[in-house]
Amino acid sequence: MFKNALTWLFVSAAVFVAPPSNADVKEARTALSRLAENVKEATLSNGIKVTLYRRGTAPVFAGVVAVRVGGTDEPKGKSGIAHMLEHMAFKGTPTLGTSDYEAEKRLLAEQEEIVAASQDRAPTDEEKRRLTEIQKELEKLWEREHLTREYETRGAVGLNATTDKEMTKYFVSLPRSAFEFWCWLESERILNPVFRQFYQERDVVLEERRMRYEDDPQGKLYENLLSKAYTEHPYRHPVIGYQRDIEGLTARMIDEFHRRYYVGGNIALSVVGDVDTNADLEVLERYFGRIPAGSSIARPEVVEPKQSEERTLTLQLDSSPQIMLAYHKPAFPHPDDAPISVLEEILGGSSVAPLQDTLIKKKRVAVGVEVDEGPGMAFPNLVFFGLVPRAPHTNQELLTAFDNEIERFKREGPTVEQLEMAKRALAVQSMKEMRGNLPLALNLATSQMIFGDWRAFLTWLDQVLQVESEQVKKAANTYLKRENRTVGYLEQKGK
Amino acid sequence: MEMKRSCAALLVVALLNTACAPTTRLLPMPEEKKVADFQPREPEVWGLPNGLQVLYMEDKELPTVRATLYLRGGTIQEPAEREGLLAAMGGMLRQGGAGELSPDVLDLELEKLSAAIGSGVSGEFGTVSLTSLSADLPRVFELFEKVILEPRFDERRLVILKGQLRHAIQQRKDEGPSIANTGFSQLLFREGAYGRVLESHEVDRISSSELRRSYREYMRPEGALLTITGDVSRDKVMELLNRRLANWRSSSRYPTTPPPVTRDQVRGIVFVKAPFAQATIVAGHLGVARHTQDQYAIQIFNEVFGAGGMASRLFGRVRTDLGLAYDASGAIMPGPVRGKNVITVQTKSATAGTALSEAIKVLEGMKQEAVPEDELNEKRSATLNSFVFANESTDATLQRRALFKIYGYPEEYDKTFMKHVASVKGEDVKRVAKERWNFDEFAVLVVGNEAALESLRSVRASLPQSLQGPIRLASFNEKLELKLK
Repeated sequence: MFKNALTWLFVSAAVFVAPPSNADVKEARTALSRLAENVKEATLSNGIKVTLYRRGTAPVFAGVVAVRVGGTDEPKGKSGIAHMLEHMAFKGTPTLGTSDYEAEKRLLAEQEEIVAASQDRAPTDEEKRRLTEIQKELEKLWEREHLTREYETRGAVGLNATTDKEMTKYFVSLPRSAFEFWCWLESERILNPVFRQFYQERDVVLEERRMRYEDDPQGKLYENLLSKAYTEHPYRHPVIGYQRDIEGLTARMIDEFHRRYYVGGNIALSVVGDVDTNADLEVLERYFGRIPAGSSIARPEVVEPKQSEERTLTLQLDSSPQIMLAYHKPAFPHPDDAPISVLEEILGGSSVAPLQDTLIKKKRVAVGVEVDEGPGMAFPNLVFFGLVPRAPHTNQELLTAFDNEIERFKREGPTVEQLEMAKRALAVQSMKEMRGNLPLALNLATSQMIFGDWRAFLTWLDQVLQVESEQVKKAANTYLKRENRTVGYLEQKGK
Repeated sequence: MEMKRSCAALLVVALLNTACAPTTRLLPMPEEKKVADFQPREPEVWGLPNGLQVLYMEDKELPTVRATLYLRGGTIQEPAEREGLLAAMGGMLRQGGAGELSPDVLDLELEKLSAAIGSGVSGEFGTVSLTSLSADLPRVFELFEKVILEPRFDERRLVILKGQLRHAIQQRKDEGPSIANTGFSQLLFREGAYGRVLESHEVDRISSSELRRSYREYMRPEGALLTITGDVSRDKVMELLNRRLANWRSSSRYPTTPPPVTRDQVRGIVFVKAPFAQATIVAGHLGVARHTQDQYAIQIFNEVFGAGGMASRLFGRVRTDLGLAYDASGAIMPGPVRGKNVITVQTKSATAGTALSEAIKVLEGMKQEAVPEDELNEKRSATLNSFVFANESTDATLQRRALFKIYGYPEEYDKTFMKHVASVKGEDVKRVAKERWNFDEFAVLVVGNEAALESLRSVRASLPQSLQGPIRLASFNEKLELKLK
């Protein structure tokens, strides 16, 4: 039935629509090569990798500091520490954030002594009294959000940071006049951070956790799905951390974690916009070159056992129903990664993709279908499908329709048009992602940190452009199997 | 000037620190440099005989083209009995097929070209936009024209859209912030043009013939703007436009004047019980029109109070000092006739009352004392130095110019902006706080569980008099259900 409908669609389309043009794919690929030729790369004396790209006419730039540390690097019982450290990196330095650093340092040390002493027991009344006193004295010394204010007075926009499974990125866009300041501040907060206001910030992170995971039905489903899909690999733990782990973090733990990971060999910088690709390197060396090189840090080598049967979980919430599915897959540069990317794009990457076409338009059992992958990029990861049923259809009816469509695709594989359309879409998307200063800077730093080469996104695209129909069909049959998946149901309470 | 002094002081601290530190790696903060003068490129602007104005800028870095048609008037001008039809028409322009192309064929052709066309109508204006590879522009522009001039409003596709609308309506009650924001808008604007909320039974009456009627009544080239940028020459743009859009005619008389706000807002605290770990608090009252003499002082007030991100007072107090929330924001948000003054905080149930009373104290502080010169300087510098980003790219420049025209900003707005912002005084900001915020008019909507309600009750005595009355309980299904006189 569906096959006939789809055939009809392509026959009708043929009347009006020219086939996808390979010339356009080449044009997009050539534009990316041209861009890549103008990327300047360098390594600072302490091993920090740098990429610079000059573009545009406005006197502005986007700067990214990427540190190779994230959720996968966290010790057991300390989930959330990488993200907590990212929050603390905004608290300042000895010269930003306090009116008297020496006095503050003594108070912070005393605070940590008391916290460490009462780690495994409730604090005594005397300790509580002293902690309250210390807090009051510290509050008199603190200059609230000083680091942020220094950035903002210089015209910063989009000052922010993110932590994911394997990387922490600090980024901002600034007028060119603040380039040296950016180098100073970013290197300074790596070199001389002061983890002040730690315990208030820990409460802030707990609020963030409530907002993103506990009260967000999709966030909650995602968190539960990951812990079910992985049994061993650290991908199973939430980047934000479990509540009990966050509550157990101390400023001293953050300091130790920071010393270990925030070192030259673990950092990449990228700057895009109004840059001088030669002179700026000297400035970068002067400031960022101060950071100790550190030693090479191996990531935990945890191999996730092969899944042998379908796993399911159900959440009952006061919320609209939905389904999230996760299939295990290898990650780039595994040769199956590019065919899987094409498979994802064909199945659900556009409004004419078979999943959208069948589930939303023809059978009308869904109001939304999404395909994505994650939760990280450095280790074998997952293909996700998000499905939202159209009332009065149930999750189960929608899943049956989804499975039928997947099984059909596994038998038939993609058409030539679907394959070419997907490759072209991925090429054009890659090009569009390079348009803004910040997206390009983030891309360069991410490729460098995760894959050891900023050109990785081009290598991936070249692999994508060479994918053949049989590889896509094989990928579907190899990875989209029930015994390789976890299904998370969000069911509406009381229905 | 003040800024320089504070930086110099920091420099001294830094140098002292260098002398004391056991390492030689410390470097002083570099001296602050002036942001370079930047004269952004101006778009080329020309009009077509049918009243459509074109704003064009070339950008050859990548082989793509982006264009947006801005249409005047929006859902605020839609009569109450037609609620939802114009927004649905906006979505269905692109979704419903065009000319000889059924929706499926149009979708397929755009996907094959890796191009996108989008459309929609919001409160004050409508848009139809395209992105395309340069080489495919002639065909994509032809499809763009078909969407604008010959939409089909396909019945089968409309069924899909109506299902999605019903789902979106159901989803409103899934999360605290969506309940709070929908409900707060109702409290302020009641059932008027600015506070109407689409309900399921209204979705039922959306039909292709009603969408065609909305299309005829709304779409017209007079006063519309087309921005276009990318790797395409001016000659090529003119040639594309002259082929069809230049001949677009319409008899539409759709109003573009914003309707008045006719009913009084609700006052006092309203509570919606919902099983969330966090309470969502939205507080404030009706605000000012967009073009007031105070607009620059309002801008600085917002930066100081709660729209300046991490460096604003509200964020600093509620998040940085007290650890009560991940985000806390507040601002005077001007609107076409009346805007909204809004404070928003999400916090755990037990601290809902504390978060609200602390936010109100921050506002009270701004009403009591003029902003000190140092803080004022920081905010003026932040506003002035970041102004260069308004024209960071050709896309940013064009969008800014188009929206300014839609919102009726004077031509010289950007040219005089720096001068006006630089002249805002601490007393101006205090005056804005006093005159533009009035606790007697406050409406507060809180969404949370029983503990949040208890927390609110526990702080009520410390709140302004106007918020000390009984807390009214309301339910929320598709919208806020509150019996009002």
